[in-house]
Amino acid sequence: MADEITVTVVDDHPAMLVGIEQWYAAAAEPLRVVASGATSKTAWLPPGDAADVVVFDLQLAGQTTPAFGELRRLVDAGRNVIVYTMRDDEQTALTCLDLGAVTFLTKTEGADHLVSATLAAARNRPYTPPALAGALSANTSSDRPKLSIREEEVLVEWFQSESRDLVAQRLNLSPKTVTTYLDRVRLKYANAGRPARSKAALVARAIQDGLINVDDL
Amino acid sequence: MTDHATATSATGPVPAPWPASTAHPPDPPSPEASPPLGQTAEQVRDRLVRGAQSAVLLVGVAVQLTSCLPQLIANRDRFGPWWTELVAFVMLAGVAVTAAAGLLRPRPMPRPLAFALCGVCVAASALASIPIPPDLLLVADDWSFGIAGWYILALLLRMRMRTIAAFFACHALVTLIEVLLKGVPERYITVQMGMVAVSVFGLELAVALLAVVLHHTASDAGEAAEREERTRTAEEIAEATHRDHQARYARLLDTTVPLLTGLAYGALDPGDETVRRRAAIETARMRQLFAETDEVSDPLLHELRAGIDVAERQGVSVQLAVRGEIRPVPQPVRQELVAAAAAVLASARTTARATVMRTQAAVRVSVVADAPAEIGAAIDAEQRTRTETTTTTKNGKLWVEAVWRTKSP
Repeated sequence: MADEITVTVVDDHPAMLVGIEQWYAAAAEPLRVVASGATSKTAWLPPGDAADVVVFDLQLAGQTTPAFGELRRLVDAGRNVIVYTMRDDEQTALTCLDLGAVTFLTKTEGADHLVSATLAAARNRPYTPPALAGALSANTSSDRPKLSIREEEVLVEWFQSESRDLVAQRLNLSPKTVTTYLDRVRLKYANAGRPARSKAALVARAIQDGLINVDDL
Repeated sequence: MTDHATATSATGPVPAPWPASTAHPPDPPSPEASPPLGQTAEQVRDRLVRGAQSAVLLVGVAVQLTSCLPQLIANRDRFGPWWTELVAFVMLAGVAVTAAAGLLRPRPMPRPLAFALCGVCVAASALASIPIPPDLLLVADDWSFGIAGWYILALLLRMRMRTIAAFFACHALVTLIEVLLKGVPERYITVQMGMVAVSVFGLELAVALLAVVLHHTASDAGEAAEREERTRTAEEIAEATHRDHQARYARLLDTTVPLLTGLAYGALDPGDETVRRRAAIETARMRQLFAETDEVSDPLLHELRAGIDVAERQGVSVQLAVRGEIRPVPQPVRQELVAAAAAVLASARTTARATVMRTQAAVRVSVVADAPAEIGAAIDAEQRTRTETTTTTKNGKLWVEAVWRTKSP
């Protein structure tokens, strides 16, 4: 199938691998795991090296620190990496984003978020799950992109409620507008910090989609 | 889509469906409000040093009026140009007046001004002794030698010993140059001069040393006063918190006791959904009371966890996410933030998501759960003084967000 999206999963829990495969198989869109394994080698060797998206567990067996180095190498090779981790602290999320991960998902965020994030990653579209929104909202670093009051509100409410409908109702917006705000925040971050192919693709795609103007940058 | 409504809690006099605490203890001193450490000590020190400065200044003025003034008048026709002595006398009097005015002001005299005045003292001393013949320098006829030192001391007493000694050395040097320029007198007169210099500077330096001791004592006294103040504040807070706890424990009687007696006498059916929810809410409230007295580094999260425990024990799966750094939240605010969240958690049927979000501008506690909409209405009706609460219901989900704003957006 031409439109099929291929995924490489790097995770050291066999149950996790099986679960993720199941989630993709059950998705409405054609998604297929072409390779899976416990180390990042899976993503470098065929058939995993050609997959559209890499789902990457930051905490791999035998390592005491998050695998930021591996993540960086994958990003520098032009891969679309989704970080999928148990770690739930904002610093990790912000670091991953800065390194060029397409998005950051925590394992408490379930199947829907992973499938949506994978689709978005394959199409170079932004996707901001609630955990990441919370991290962006709590970001106090000095190089943080400047966000509008509305964008700040949407980030906080999306983090808290995990529901576009609830956020939309709370802020008197349409669910679509909520997504637009989240995407714009994500793009502001893509435009800041260390350059990466994934970030550039995200911004290019957003301009094509009419989400932002070249002037906005 | 089912029922949906968004409401921001009214803070009018609406009767609360369950008792909200009214007797709040005073807010514990927040880091912004409390005086910076050492302010009391600084005040004590300032008062003591000011006293010492006034005393030394008084000595100086007394010396100038009772000893220098008669000598000045006596010198009128004895040596050459008398006017230099007169100008020096006026300059020194001016220094005394400025120093006195400085002591009356709330802030200590700026260092540059104090140094400038000390310079004036040394200059006046040199000026006054111009007409004095070399063999009479430093003795009684040279009235300006001792007085300059007293004023320098009065001006510099709050500074370090080194600074004071440096100015005395400067004064001594100027005098020495004067003696050398005018020609060194006979040996026994020179020795006499040296003795006068040593006794004058010795006395003044001794006073300066006393001032150093005074500085140390002042710091100790200040610290002791501060410790005492902190203890008193802590005691008062503990007292107020205790009263608040007692009041809230007492209020449990109105809600928990009827529930327990109802269950004990069989008037209430434990199988009934409403009874179960009432029990859950009571449990949450009691857990919050217990948790408040615990000493933990993150009391807000600790108290929220108590509410989550209650929900989890009823088989509700609760997901907790926390963002932002720990920041101090006064106990009454904490209570309001957690109370709303705990009520929703206690009424959740199957799942709940609790979040804590801390930024510079606000602290937010939010819970989304499949809880009955009435709980939201009850939370809206509750009176709050320190926090804002917003409830939203949609598709069978109840979302309650309590916000404590510390900065206007």
